[in-house]
Parts: sequence; structure tokens; C-alpha cells
Amino acid sequence: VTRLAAILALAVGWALLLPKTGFLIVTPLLMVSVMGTMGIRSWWRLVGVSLAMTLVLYLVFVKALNVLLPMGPLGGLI
Amino acid sequence: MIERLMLGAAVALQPISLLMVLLGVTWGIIGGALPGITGSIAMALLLPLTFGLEPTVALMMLAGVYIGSMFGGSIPAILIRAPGTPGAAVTLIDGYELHQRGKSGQALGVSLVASTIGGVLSVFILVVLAVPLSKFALAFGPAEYFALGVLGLTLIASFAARDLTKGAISAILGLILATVGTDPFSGTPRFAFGTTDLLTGVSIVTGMIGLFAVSEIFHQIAESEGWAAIQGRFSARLPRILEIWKLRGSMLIGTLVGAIGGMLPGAGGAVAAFITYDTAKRWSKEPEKFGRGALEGIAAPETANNVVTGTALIPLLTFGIPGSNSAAILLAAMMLHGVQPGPLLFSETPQTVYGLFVGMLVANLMMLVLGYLAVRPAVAVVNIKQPYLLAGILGLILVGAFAINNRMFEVWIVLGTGLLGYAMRRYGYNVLAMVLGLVLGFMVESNLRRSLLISRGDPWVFLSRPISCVLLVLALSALLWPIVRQIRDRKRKQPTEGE
Repeated sequence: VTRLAAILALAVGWALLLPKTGFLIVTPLLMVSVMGTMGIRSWWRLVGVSLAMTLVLYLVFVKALNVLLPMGPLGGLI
Repeated sequence: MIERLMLGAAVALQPISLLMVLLGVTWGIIGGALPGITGSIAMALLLPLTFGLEPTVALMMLAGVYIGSMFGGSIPAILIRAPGTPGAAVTLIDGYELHQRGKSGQALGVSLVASTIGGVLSVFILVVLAVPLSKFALAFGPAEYFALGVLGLTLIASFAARDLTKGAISAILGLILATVGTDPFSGTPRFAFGTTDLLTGVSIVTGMIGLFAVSEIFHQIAESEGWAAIQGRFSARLPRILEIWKLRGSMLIGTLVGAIGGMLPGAGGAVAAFITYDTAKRWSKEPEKFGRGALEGIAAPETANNVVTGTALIPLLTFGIPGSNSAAILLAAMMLHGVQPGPLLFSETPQTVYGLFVGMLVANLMMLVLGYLAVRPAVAVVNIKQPYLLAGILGLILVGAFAINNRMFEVWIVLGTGLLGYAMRRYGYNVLAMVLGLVLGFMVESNLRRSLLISRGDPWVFLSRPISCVLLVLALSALLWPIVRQIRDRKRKQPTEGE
């Protein structure tokens, strides 16, 4: 249950930060922290999987479905 | 009828439809194979991705997910004794037994063939029953729709939920949630608390993703210790025609039970599979074989849970009342795409209804091929470590919720209803009853008020019209039945206690 509270807090944090910092910053952070909380310890995997998942979500929702996700400062780079 | 089926086939056999159904069935098999991801959750996760599709194609794709998930659920049931979906919970009894004897391929093959046969038969049952029923539904006025909604809610509160009080509380919570937003008649805001976000109310799609999917993810985060990895490589070995013929009895029972179970709101695939297994065992000439690796013990429930995929759509398409969790998601998808279920759907946009029929038939046939090919990829996905999966699914839900209306509000609703759903599961309340309350809330309320407007406030309209009176009496008996049963059980117990 403590694990659930932690992940819920992370999800709420994601939702609070998304409009200001943008999807590309806040989503990998969410992924890393969720997987870390769930017991993944290898840094290489945490970062790699998080970036890959963010990329997939970005391609599907922003590129294919034209969802207007807040992009934040990194938005201009892509 | 034939003409309309041809019209439907024209829509369902377009390349884009075939591709989407193919993707839907594949995702269904894989999602179904993941313990914890049921068919309805797999559909809910896919829902935000169907925005860009034509309504008919989106519905066919989601029906494909539903169909595929029923077979997918039996893969881990057979290989690791963990049902991927509730519908496969009985399949594991004989399935895992066969797996331990090295007959995994045979077990998977029978499951696949039984699922396909059940699915194909259910499409026929759907077409045969839904079309006449939709004509009957034309006779329904506001009073009848109100009574039907009440019947649906009482049925689920008393049958699907083990505890009548908790079931009723869950359904009423859903009804309360449905009142949030703008009053459909006067246009006054209700429970909006001065915000503009709440004026449109809690949309059914958002509430469902929260109550079904997010609550399950929370449940897994809080309690699950993960599941065993599947060792080795497996594929389905298709049974010969003769072997299938031997299983005809159990498949027939599965078809009958599944057909009835699918049409009752809240019964769904799991209940149908349980009852079928029990019935098949009782009717079998060798009941002692059940539980020790009988192929009948796989064929019967797997037929039943796939028959439900079609028959659950009968009350959905004709009256707008979903027969199972997954049918509820389909209803949400229909609303999202502006398709209004009911008799008019059959006459005004036959290409949607008949396209869905043909699409489901195609999906079942695709499953036979895909099921054969997809066992290995599905096993690979099941073997992915749980943290990666949960993180991925959480991301998909959060972004998907945002995508529904391009605003943050839906994300908050999804998280809130998810937490509520998790608490409800934990304390024995029924999430499906709450979803049905949310889904039927608008229909029940607006028809109640419409009938009272017509009758100028006279409540007798509900009893003086024959159909509505019968439906309300049925609803009352659904509520009284658990109480009567309890009293009877107590009376039966007392003499033995006195001895």
C-alpha cells in the first residue's frame, strides 16, 4: 500500500507538472521513478526503457493522433 | 436482411477495417494473456487510440479486442495456472493439468478451436436475436426505457455482486456520479461547484477507464508480487475434426449457457464459464475426468466465454444496456463516436450494425490463425517484468486520458475514480455495478422525467403500461430474490443445528 501511495503521488506530480514543464521532460521522469519504486535497480535499464516508452507515447499520441500535449521548452527541438 | 449483411460486409471487408480488426484481435490476445489485463481493460486502453477511425471501424476493432482477449486469457491459465482474464479462471483447472503432462499444445489448441467455434456461433445468435428484438424495442416509450434501466441496475446489484447491500450501494454511487454536470432538461448546472470543467459531467469513457483499468493497475501495484515466468516454447496444436466432434456436447452446453449469460447484465464471461464447467461436468458420462486434464473441461468454458462476446451485444445494440464490462466499454466507444444504440441504429445506419456483425465474424476467423501464431509473442509479453509493464500502462492511461478532450481535467477524473475503484474492490463493493449506474444514469433519469412530463406528474404511467409494469415487477423480484434465498437457507440450517 505504501508503494501505491508513492506511485499515486508520482502520477499526481506528473499531472501537476505537465502543463508547465511539458510532456518530454516530465514523462521520462515519471517512468524512471515508477519503475524505480517497483524495484528495478539497473540505471541503464531505467533510463533506456523510460526514453523508449516516452518516444512511443509521443509518436502515437502527438504524431499519429494529433493530441495537443503541452510540450514545454523541449517542444521546439522536435 | 441479406442486403443489409452485404452492406455490412462492404464496410467490414475494406482493407482499413481488416487491418484494424487484425490489430485489435492481436492486441486482445496479448492483453488477455497478461494476468490482470482483462478484455475490458485492454479495450479501455485502446479506446483513446481509436479517435481517428471511422465509428464502424473503431467498433469492429474493439470487438476484435474483446474476442481475442477471451482466447488470450487461456494461455497463462494453461501455462502458469494464472488466468489472464476472469473468463479463463476455470480453464486453468484442466488446462494446467494437461500442461503438467506435457500436453500444453493440445490444451491450447482445444481452447483456440472452442473459442473460435463459440465466437462464430455467437455472431449468428446475435444476428438472429438482435434484429427482431430491435423491432420489438420500437414499441418502447420513455416509461419502458426507465423500467428497463431500473431492471438492469437491480439485476447487477443482486446477481453480480455477492452482497445485495454493497451491490446496491455501488450502483447508486454510479447514479450519483451520473447526475454531475448540466441538468438535461432545465440546463442548470448540478454539482459543478462553480467550475466549467464539471459542466459536462463525468464522461462515461473517463469514468470507465478509471474504474476498470486504473483501479486494477493500483490493485496490482499495491498487492501483486508479480507472476511466474513461462518456461520453454509452446505453440497450439490444432485438434483433428474427430477430436472436435467428440467435444460437441460440452461445446453445446457452453453455447447455451453463454448465450443466456451474455444477455443478462453483469453476468459476463466469467460467470458463464463457471456455470458451463459445472453443467458439463454434471452431464458428462465420465465426470471423474474433470479436474484431471479433461479436454471437455477446456472446451466447455472456452466456448461459453466466447459466446458471451456476441450475446452481450444483444441488449447493448437493441436497448443500449450493456451485458458485460466489455460491452460497457463498447457502449462508451459508441457514445464517443456519436453512435446512439437502440432500434433506430438498425434502421438508420445499418452499415454500422451489420458492419459490426460481419467484422466480428472476420475477427473470430482471424483469431483461429492468429491464435496459432500469437502464442509465442504472447508468452514473451507475459514474461516482461511487471514494473516495466505497469509503468508503460500507467503512461498510456495518463496520456490517453488527456487525449480524450485535450485537457488535464480527464486525467484527474481517471486518477480519482481509479482510487475509488481500488477502494471499492478492496472492501467488496462492485465496480461493474457502479459503472452500470454511471452508464444508465442519464437514460434512467431522462426517461423518468420525460414520462412524468407526459403524464403530468402521475406516477401510475409506469404500472399502467404493460411492458414497463412487467419489467418493474421483474426488477422488484431481482431485489427480493437474494433476501428470500437467505431466509430459506436459514430455515434449512436451523433443524440441523437443533439436533
